[in-house]
Formats: sequence, structure tokens, C-alpha cells
Amino acid sequence: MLKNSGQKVPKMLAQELEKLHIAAAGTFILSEAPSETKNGAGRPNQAVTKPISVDPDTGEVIVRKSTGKSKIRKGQSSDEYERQRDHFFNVEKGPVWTPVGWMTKEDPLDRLDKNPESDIRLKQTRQKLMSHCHLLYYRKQYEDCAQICQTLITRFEVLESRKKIQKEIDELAHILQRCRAIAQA
Amino acid sequence: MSNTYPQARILTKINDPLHIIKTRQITHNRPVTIAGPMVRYSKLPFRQVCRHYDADIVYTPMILAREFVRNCHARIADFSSNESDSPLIVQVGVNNVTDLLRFVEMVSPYCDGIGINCGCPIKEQIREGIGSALIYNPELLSSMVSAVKEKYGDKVRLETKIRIHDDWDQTVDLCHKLCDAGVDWITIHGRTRTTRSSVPVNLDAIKYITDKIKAKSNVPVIANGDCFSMRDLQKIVDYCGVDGVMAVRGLLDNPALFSGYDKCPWGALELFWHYAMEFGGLPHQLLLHHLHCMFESMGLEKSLHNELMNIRTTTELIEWFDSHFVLKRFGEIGFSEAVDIPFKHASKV
Repeated sequence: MLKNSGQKVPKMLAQELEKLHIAAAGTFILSEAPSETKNGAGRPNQAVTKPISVDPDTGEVIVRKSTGKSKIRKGQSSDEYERQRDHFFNVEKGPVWTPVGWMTKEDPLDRLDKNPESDIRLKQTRQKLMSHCHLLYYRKQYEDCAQICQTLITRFEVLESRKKIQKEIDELAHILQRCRAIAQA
Repeated sequence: MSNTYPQARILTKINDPLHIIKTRQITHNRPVTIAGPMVRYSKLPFRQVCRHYDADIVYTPMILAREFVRNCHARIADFSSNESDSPLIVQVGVNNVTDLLRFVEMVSPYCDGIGINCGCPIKEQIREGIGSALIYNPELLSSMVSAVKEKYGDKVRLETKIRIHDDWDQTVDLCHKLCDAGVDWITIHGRTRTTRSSVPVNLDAIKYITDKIKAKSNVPVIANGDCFSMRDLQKIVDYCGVDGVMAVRGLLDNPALFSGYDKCPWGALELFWHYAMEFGGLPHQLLLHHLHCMFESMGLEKSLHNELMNIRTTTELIEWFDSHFVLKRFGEIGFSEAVDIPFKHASKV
């Protein structure tokens, strides 16, 4: 999962926080829950972070790094949220929707070529194609499976970062060899 | 940009988790059964297997609101579903009201409720003020609950899954605040933030807190922790006076436990294979881990187990299963019905 990179609290903001009796980055440890000592013998540090809200409109907060210093988790402007929301509902059409049989309703290569968002260089796209091969192999549809594997090997082999996807090519080659062997038997 | 987006999914008696929690005892003569959230593992294929074996309500793994509302790749990686994936609670990791409201707006058309994770003990999350950090931040947690309930009312169900404090009265205070904020139900994991899972769950704490909640409100309480069989479930309900039980680790080993199976039946494993292949997208290591857990419950011979754990690709895994066992596919007579491991050769249990 992607993570927003942390950043130091700007000086101006630090001064504003100080006015509010909140210390700033590098000079403070974020507020902690009272230490719990009732049965805390030998326990590790019980401190718990309470994030500080910087901008409630964007969700910008200050949290703590493992070093004890603070960092800002950047907010998301209304415009950016609206863009994401629109993309989610209108382009992605909601979450990935996978009813039983969805994979074999359409030729996976047609799906790949028709959809401008599909990029075979992306791992997620290749994973979907591999899943299709796994499904056909699991269903014992060896002839169809061999055909797709053959095509995918050709397409995967010309990709730039071939070293990274050699494992995937090897697995496709293995499936192809097994499918052919079973067909001949 | 369009101004008309999908609205929260309509709740009926079939999919409203609160209705189900309140009526299972009357309609099914048993408490409600809930398959809880597991990091990485509560993906769609496993959720479907749990549903097949009488889990009334099923959770997704925790999804970080911050990433979900900002990043399309995170959304694709974190959340997949389909028509039969209901009743579904999407669990969210969140540390501010804005991210939560945006997350709810995007997710509520595709689920039946949202659960705020206030129990995750992982230190990286706690540093962010997410997970069990929230039980030490009752003002923030209550404000998040209030914000969602004020905006959506009964159109969106909102749950909080909490851990207990060392001082149980702190947990009681927190729960009262959550009830006042309008939470629909509370799930209590009977361990503190630092209690190891090897330490038995504290049923006395759950009972104490539940009694106090029920003295002041009618918000249902679900107990979580150490439910590995239906006997455990009944014991927990009887002892704690809760409305239902959430199982998590128990289901990972035996997704059929709510159907009364003491160990994982072979049929569950066949179903899992079926769903994992049909839905696609489950990484090999996840597939392997699920099968490993189910086989542990079945008591598979150690040498075969070792073989299993050394398999590096999904293709080899299919071949390994077909060489050692009778793995039926959907449509074959007897699919998903076997209980014992159907070895192709002599018994190896």
C-alpha cells in the first residue's frame, strides 16, 4: 500500500502550535495517555499517540514517528477528494467486483487490449492474467489454458523489466508444458 | 464531475447487521455469529467460505481510510466484493473525522456497515493514532462516531471494535461515550493492547463491561476472543451476557466452526479453492497460509505439511493437491461435502 511521506512541521506552524500550548516537531513528544501501571510489571512502553488535528477540513494531522519525533500527515483538499470520488464511482465503478464466472466471461486478452487503464507493465494487471491461467488450469481446461499461456509468455518476454517478471514467465512456461503434456497423454 | 453518486446500500431485514444481531436468537435459536477482520486474510474467497458455514456477518480486513480516499491503487488492492458478499462490514483504520466521512461516503454503497478498528495493537498503527490507540482517545473516537451518525443516521450502521483497558471502568466510560454518540453496536475484544493472544481472553472483563453498558443502554455487545468451537460460543454468551460472538483466529483454522464442526471439514477447503480460483487475485502466499491453517486443524501428517509449505507457485499447489487428494471441483458430485481428508493413497492422518 502507498503511504504518504511524512514531513517536518514548518516553523510558522510550530509557532502557532506553541501558542496553543502544543509543542512542535523536534521539540516535543506528542501527547500520551497516562502510563498504565496497575499490572505493568516488565511491560514495554505504554505510551499511546493522540494525533493532533492541524486542519479538520482536510484531515491533516500530526502523528509520531518511531523516533519519537512528529510528522505531518498531509491533508486532502476538497477538490482532490472530489476528483478521487469521481474516479472511484465513475471510472473504477466502485470496488473490484468479482462474481463467480467473471473471469471467463470475456477473453482476458481482449479485456486487456480494450481497456485503456490496463497496463501489462503493472503487477496488478499481470496478476489478473495469471489468475485467469490458474483458473483454467484448476478447472482442467488445458487447451484454453495453453493458448493463453503461450500468448502471455510472448507478451511478457518483451517487457522492459523482464528480470522482475522472470518468475511469472517461468510459471507460465510450466503451465504450458503441463497442459501440452496432459493433452498429448 | 457527476453530482449524483451511489448512496449507502439500502438496509433490509436480510442485510441490516443490527437487525440480524437483535433477532438471530429468535429466528435461528442461537446468538449471532460473526467472522471478524483479519489483516490480510479476510479477503473475499475466505469471507464466502465463512458465510457458507453459518457466519451471519462477515468483516473485511482493516482498510486504511487515508489511503483509500486518496489512492486508486490502494482501493484496488484493498477491497473487492460481489453481490453475494453480504452482510458485510468494512473495517476501517482511521484517525480523523474528515477521512472517516469521506471513506464512509465511498464505501457505504458497497457494504452493510462500517466498523472502526479500535483494537489493532500493531505499533506502527498506534503511532498514527489508529487501532487500539483510539481507546485512549475517547473524545476523538466519539466525535468520529457522532459525525457519521449525524450525517447518515440509520442509513449506515457503525460499529466499534475495542480492546479493554487495564482499568475496566475506563472501558465502561468509553463505551458509554460511544453509546451516547450513537454507535450501533460494540464489539469487545477481551484483551488489553499489550496482552498476548496466548493469554486467555478475559471473559470477566467482557462480562463486567457488558453489564454496565446494558444497565444504561440497549446497544448490543459482541464478545471477541478465544472462540474456537460452538461450545466456546455458547459458553461466552452464557457467561458474559453478550448478544453474539465474533470469531477470528478460530475461523482461520476452521471456517466451518459456526456450523458445529470441531475441525475443518475437507469441503471447506474445496470451497476455498473454488472461490479463490473463481475470484482470482489472491497472492500465492495468502492461499498457502489459508490451506496451511485448515490442514493444521485437520491434523495432516507432518511430512505432507512440510511439502505443502515448500510449494512456491499456485500452479504447483494445484498439482500437489491433485496428486495427493481427491480435490473435487464445482459441479462434480459430492463437491464441498466431504468431511475427512480424501487421500488418493493410504491414509496419512
